Amino acid sequence: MKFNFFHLMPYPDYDKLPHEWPVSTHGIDSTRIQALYNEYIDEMVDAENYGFDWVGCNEHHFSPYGLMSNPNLIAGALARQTSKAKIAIVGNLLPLLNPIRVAEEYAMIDVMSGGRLIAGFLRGIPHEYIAYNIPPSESRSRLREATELIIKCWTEDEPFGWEGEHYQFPAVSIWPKPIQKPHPRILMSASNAESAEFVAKMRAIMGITLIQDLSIAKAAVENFKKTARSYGWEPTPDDILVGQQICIADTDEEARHHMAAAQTYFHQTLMRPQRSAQQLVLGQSRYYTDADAGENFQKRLATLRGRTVEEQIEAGSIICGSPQSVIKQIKRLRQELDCGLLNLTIKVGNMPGSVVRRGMELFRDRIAPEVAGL
Amino acid sequence: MTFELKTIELSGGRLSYHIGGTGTPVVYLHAAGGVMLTEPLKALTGNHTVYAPICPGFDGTEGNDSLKTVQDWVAMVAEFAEKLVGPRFDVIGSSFGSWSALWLAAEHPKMVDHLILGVPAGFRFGGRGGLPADPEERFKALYAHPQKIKSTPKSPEVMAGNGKTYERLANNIQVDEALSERLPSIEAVTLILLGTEDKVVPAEAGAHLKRNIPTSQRAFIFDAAHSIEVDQPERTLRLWTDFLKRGPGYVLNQGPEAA
Repeated sequence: MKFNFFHLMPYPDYDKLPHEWPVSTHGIDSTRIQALYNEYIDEMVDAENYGFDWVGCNEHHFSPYGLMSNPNLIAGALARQTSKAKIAIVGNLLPLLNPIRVAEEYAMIDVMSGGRLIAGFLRGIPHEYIAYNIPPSESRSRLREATELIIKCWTEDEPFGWEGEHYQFPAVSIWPKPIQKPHPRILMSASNAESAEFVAKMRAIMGITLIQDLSIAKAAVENFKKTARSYGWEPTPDDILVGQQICIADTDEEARHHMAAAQTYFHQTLMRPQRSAQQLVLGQSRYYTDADAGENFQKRLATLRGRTVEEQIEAGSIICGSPQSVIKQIKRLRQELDCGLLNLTIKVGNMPGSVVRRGMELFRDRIAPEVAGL
Repeated sequence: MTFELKTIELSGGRLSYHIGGTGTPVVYLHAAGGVMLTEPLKALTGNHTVYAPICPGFDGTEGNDSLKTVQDWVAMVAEFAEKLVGPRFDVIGSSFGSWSALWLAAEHPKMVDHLILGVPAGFRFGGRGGLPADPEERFKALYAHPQKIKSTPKSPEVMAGNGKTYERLANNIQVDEALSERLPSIEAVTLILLGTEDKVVPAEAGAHLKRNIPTSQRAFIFDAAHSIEVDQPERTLRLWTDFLKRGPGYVLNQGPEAA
């Protein structure tokens, strides 16, 4: 198995309960955020020496939920300071962005890192569409067109133009091209049949997160495999990534205590302001089609929010415990979901840096040796 | 605007052609399936006089055994243009028609002003691409959006005649090496159009043309298979009209003032 040290880069000191999104920055000290960037990047740089195969981050806007409006900037720093871990951007929110710019920045990261980019092409979560003033109902069609355009940018040596539904670029030839040929691995979300179809067509890594029930996740994986076969290929565990929050401590009790506290901040402070904005998007646009109405991000999140740490562990939603318990939980995920890639968020909410670091040590010394060969 | 079907007697025999519209002349050279009066072609007649000659043997016309190669067909087109179209004109080709259009631009550089090569045939490197033999697969290769087909299907007899004539002229050539050598000498400003879902003409064919034709540009039409005019008529027409009007300068976004 391979493990991604994923960082959401949350702001951990928000002492009020934010009531609206976008969230005000009144009273926020940017020099504190400078310190956080340093702390978080140091954790990510160190991760490659703690048994993690990938280091990764993603994109969010206008709130303390995540401090990476452009994860490619973080990846630029990681490209120079790491030497062996894959750099997984999971990912750029393609429908919101200029796809040519994404192609260029991703190619730069791949070249700067010596061919270590994992390129996440994500649709994002609903409220992000307000941030960049993009119609949510266009999210899927923009994602599909941008994905195909970016691949052309990476693989066509001769200049070309693009005449599409959302994008028209008459003259394109990005410099440099990625080192990885024909192009870096692509990672996309495939939690329902509609998204699985496109992910399978693009032969991308399928990502699934916020698992509320292992049987539902297993069905999604099986559906992806079946769809991939219809496109003439057979996914292996290296094509299936499962995202989980994780807390590793010396004892189960300690880990559960830290996870519970961190999740309280995560749900009550970091996630709170987005809910009303998300409801606005969901109520007034066709962000979700009928296909994904029963299995969407908000529903999964709401389900998890109402569960105890113990219930989440039992459901396969999170990984939490002593090294021995964590090894068992990882083996269970590997067996149930046939996944070869785990995307692990160790910095959950306001989890103290000392807890994150101890978890990394335990992962390196006690867990990685037991699970890397799975 | 509607097209009329007419005929003309040339030194090499009779030639039928569709003609429609008024304005600067455009010669449209058809694909192996014969002439399809597609929506962009009809719309083009709003600003152009469009001539669409039918290669003898296609679309139920009488065959002409003296036409044995693409160059023979192109010589006939040149005579047609000289007699009917004028000394200089724009050319749009579709697949086999683009192959023909390239020969026309190579043999008669003073005739061809703007050259638009839609899904150009004649450059199947490594034998890749081409139309599948199975009718169902062939249909899928031609159309990503078959529901957009507006023309009446051609009869099996006409399609068989088209296929037979095409096979004679194409002569089983995978890569037209002789034409390939002539590409650097092409003077016409050229736009190469490809469908992102086209498996008949691989993208590398377009790259080869772009690399070797001195003043050329190429564009991918998103979500179109081989029949770009049917699958994405608005996108195809936009590129045609912009390029015919502005040549290589069509890459510049002129903003709302352009209208």
